Amino acid sequence: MTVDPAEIEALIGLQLGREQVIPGDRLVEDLGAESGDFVTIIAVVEERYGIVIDEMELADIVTVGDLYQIVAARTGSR
Amino acid sequence: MPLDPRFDTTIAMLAARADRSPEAVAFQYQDQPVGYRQLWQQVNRFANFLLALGVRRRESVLLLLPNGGEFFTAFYGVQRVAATAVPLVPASGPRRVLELASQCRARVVVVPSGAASTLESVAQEAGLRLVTIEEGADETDHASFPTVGPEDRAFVQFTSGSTGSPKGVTLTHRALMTNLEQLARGMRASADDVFVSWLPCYHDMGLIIMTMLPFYLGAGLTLLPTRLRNASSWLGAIERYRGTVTAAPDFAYRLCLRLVAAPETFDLSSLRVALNAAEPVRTDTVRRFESAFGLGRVMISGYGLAEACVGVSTTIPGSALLSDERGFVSVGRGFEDVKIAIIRGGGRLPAGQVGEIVVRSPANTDGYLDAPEETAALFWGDGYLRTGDLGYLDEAGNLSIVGREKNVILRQGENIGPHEVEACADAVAGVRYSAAVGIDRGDVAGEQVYLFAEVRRALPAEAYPATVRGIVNAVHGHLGFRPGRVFLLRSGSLPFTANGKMQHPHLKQRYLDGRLRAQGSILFPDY
Repeated sequence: MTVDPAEIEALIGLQLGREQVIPGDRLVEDLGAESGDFVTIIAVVEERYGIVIDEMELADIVTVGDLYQIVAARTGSR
Repeated sequence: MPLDPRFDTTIAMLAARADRSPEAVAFQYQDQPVGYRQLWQQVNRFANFLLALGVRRRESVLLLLPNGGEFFTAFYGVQRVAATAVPLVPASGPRRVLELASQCRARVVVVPSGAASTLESVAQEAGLRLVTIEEGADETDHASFPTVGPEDRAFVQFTSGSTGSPKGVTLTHRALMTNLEQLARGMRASADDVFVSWLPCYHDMGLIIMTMLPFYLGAGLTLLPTRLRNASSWLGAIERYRGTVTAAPDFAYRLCLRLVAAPETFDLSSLRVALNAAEPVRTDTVRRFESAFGLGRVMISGYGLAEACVGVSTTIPGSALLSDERGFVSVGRGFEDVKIAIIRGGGRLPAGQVGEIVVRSPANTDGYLDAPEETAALFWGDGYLRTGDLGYLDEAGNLSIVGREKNVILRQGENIGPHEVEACADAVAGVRYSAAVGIDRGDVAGEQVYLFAEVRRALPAEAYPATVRGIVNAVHGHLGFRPGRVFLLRSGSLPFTANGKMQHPHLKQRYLDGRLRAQGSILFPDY
């Protein structure tokens, strides 16, 4: 299973109500994600890709690209 | 001093109208007026027919009839022989009709004249007799009918709970007449009023408030078929008949705002009362409806439930609607002789605190038909029945509804009324209606607001992402949080009751068990 980065960008765009989302965007600072949004994005990603992101990984997610890397690594390794 | 209804029974009410003003128009349906004497004759003929069929006192007779004169003939004809009328949704499938017939041990079902019934194939086997008003039209209207008293059961209204099979709410003539008197006083309604209704007669608000109340008062009544798509016919009838009283759930008023392209072309200046009830009242709807149609303060909000006949409270006509800082609109104080309390865990709560609403009214039901356990669970004690609705009373005794007990979303420790979220989404271009439910998938996010929005058929697929973003931003911009998920649904896939109430638990279930997705109701997104 390969994940297209654009899929993750679109998903985040829908969750946060943002039309333009690029890999370098920081979820909180650039896209305005609040704590509640952060957890819902993770929940949606987990459900969609059938993965579980642990707390350590969560802490490392700052940008849209960071989230993509985690999803790609998880889905590619299965 | 207890309320003193003007009549003991529905039958005494109709007989008095036919006697005092035989030529007066009882109702108009599709521009055809029917006078009280004519109605009374039709009722008696049909009652005679029922007697000939062997219908006995207290026996349940099912009505599978749409709005129209035949409904009244059947409804009161059944009561004329001291039997119990049981109106069902006329579009009920054969299986559902058989189930409900069995539940109330009915043998006779009244179906529309001159139309093949889908029940024909199954009725005989099930021992059900299908009859039409026409079959009884040749009967004499004189007979010695059984005496009907206030404690006789007038009718049973089935109501769907969030779980289990529908429950039949039993109502005596006394309860009905009492509620009509309460409604008349609460809505300041009189013989001078002209009621215009497009609500279904087989449900409490359309039946009791919008057709029984005008008969009770000797007021005018124009009844329309229930065609939601044609909001203009409703408004047009109000204009043409100089309607003074109408009623609908909030969404119907919103529907008008959406469907009617040129509201200024309607002259609704005759309107005195537009009751907004049966689902949460949105301040936005009230403001926009009154403004679009150039009306003063005509909208009143109301609260009620089938277990109390129909109405428990309304605001006072002409008064400004009160809403709190969260947008919950007050539904006024209880009608005369109605006591409202807010409970939690068996005890009463003080003003301002949200809990389950319990109601004590002389119009309360005695219980559900042949369902002692559900009946026992219905009553809280001291004559109060549990509504399953959540709300609070202010210091002056005004009630505000904040949601259903099982349908308040608890997001991050905060109660969110689904209608607050829905009001935001509904204002987004391309959205027809929306429904918000609380879903906890057991993941990191906890219980979240899941928003399901029906979109207009004309909305192109390319516009779906922008529509979702629009909804997210509308909710966020107004309430300060974003929904956990937003789904766009195919037009017509949100589950409403016949009365126009959104069935949130049903929607939630259909989403969770995958049916919503499997049935192709979810247009976007695909995950």
